Amino acid sequence: MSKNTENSDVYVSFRNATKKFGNFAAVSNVNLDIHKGEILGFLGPNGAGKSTTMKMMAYLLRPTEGEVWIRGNGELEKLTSKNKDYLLDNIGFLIENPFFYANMTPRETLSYFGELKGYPHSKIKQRVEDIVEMVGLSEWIDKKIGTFSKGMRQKIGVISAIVHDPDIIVLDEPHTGLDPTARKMVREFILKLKDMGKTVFFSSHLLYEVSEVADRVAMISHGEIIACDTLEKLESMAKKSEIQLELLEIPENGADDMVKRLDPIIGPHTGLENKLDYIRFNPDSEIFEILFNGDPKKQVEIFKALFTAGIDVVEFSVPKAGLLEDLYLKFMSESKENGAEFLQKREFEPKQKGEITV
Amino acid sequence: MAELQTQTQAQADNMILTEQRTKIGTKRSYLQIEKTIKYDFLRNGMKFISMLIMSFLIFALFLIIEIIDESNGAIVPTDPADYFEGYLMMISFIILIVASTFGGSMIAEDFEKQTGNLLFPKITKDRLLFGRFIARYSYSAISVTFYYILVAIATVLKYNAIPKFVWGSLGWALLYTFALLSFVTFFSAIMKRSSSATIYSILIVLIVFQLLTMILMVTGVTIEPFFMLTYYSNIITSWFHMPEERYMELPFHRGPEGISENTFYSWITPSATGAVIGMLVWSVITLTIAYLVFRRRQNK
Repeated sequence: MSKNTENSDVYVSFRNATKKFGNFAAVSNVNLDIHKGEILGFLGPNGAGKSTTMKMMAYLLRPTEGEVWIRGNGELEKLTSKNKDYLLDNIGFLIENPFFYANMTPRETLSYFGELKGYPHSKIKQRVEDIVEMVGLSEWIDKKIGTFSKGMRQKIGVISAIVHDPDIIVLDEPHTGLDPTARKMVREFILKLKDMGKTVFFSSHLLYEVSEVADRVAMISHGEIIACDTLEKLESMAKKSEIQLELLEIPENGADDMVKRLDPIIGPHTGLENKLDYIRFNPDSEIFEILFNGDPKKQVEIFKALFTAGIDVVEFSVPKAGLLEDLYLKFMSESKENGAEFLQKREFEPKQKGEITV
Repeated sequence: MAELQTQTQAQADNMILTEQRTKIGTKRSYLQIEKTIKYDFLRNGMKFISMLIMSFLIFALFLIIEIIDESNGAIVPTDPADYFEGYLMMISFIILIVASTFGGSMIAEDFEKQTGNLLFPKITKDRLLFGRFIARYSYSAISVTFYYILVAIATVLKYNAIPKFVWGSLGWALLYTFALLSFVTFFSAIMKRSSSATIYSILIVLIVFQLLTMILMVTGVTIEPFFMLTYYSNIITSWFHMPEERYMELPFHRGPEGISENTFYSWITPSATGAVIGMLVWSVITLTIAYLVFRRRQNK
């Protein structure tokens, strides 16, 4: 059996994992490490290969090429049909939209799932009641799942991944079908798992959900990882960040004139070489979005310049989601333009610098 | 500080839990099979009740026909075995419906409804299939036995005795149920949908095998049709009066004046040994293929 003792904090490692369906490569040469105790956000549009990657980890799909390594008894071991039972024992999965047997209740199904993974029979009843209460579905615990809404099924799906109290939790699009309140609940839930010392690997196409909780973000596009690191490091790689600026009032002659007025005030302090369209106005939110090089000193300079020029600023912030969106679009467009060359650069350069784990 | 305390407490709880958790190995395997059986019993409870109702309705139908026949002066069998055998005319059909109902969804359902995404990372497919098969076979067997019990009650009420061959016949019925459930499970493994597995199984048993039987009769092939699963169902009723000659030639006259004369050849029933071996071979082959397909089958 293949074993590897390197990188003792790596719990899961994808090594050149590729999955093909016929001639179509759903996932190509994915290299990704998941470290103990971290929250790794897996970001990508629909059809990018997020679920396929997670299914390979759950052994629902076998990689056409490459391997998935998981830490068993202190050592990383290659996931195979022979050891999958033991390697996956400490992992909880929610893969794609959860589908349950419609004529069963959450109590019956979650008890079954928990006990399959060896959760003590004497404690499973209390455990199921506790986790169902966590998602606010206590009143529904003995109702048939077939009568549940999509959001309720999603909540049951999320807790089905933790019913046996695993150390690693893999959640594929946990926010799908949830209303804003429930999404907030899932965010808090993920952070709570981290507080409990769990490792969380979750995917989403929702930038905000990833940016709010993830320690690191892996971006995938067309089955290939295009970037993976902390938000801060990705930001420094992109040499770009965004300030959101809300003014007390927008002049009567419109936002365009305000952009022209702000240009000489802010321009010298952005630290950007290319200042094309670096100030944008979002008419929906009535907020000015200003790109700068991400250096906090520049951020202070911009704020001072605005204050000195007498601009009435109501709100001045650097939202994570906005930044992530820019980064994501940048990496996506670069990957399309440069193809494999870009990807290889992302894979090898950071490794040499010890910054990027892709 | 509070965060550290929470983490320490969580780690301590986790250690206690790890100790209490059933370890991977033989004990866990048995536990998983046991839990799967219980869960599948719960899951198929309504189907089971439906099958019991179906058995009762078919029994009631035969009983009503018998009462009407008697009131019309039909001859009542003197031997309780004959009376009992009369109720078994549709036993093959009952077993087919029961087996296809419980077997059709055995494997296909988890791929069709994607419930496997949640289930397969938690249990190996061999244990899952084993547990489910036991649960569903138990329900199927109880449904068939229930029909026998109803007929037995009617026989006791009428004759105050039960023919000794009933138990042998029930044994053959249960073995045939096992073989047919394995056959349907095979279709469940290769079909995308549970309904397709159910329908194809029924069609093959009712049409393809019957067609093959007719072809064999007409062509006069004398080889015993061990390769036909439906052939083994004959022993369920034949057990009451096992014929000395299991091979039969039937003269058949066609045309209004019987001008064109023909002879059909037919095997009435397999021998007891042949039936046991044949049905077990069918079960082993179909179940093994079903398992291998299930193991290889991946979610998309």
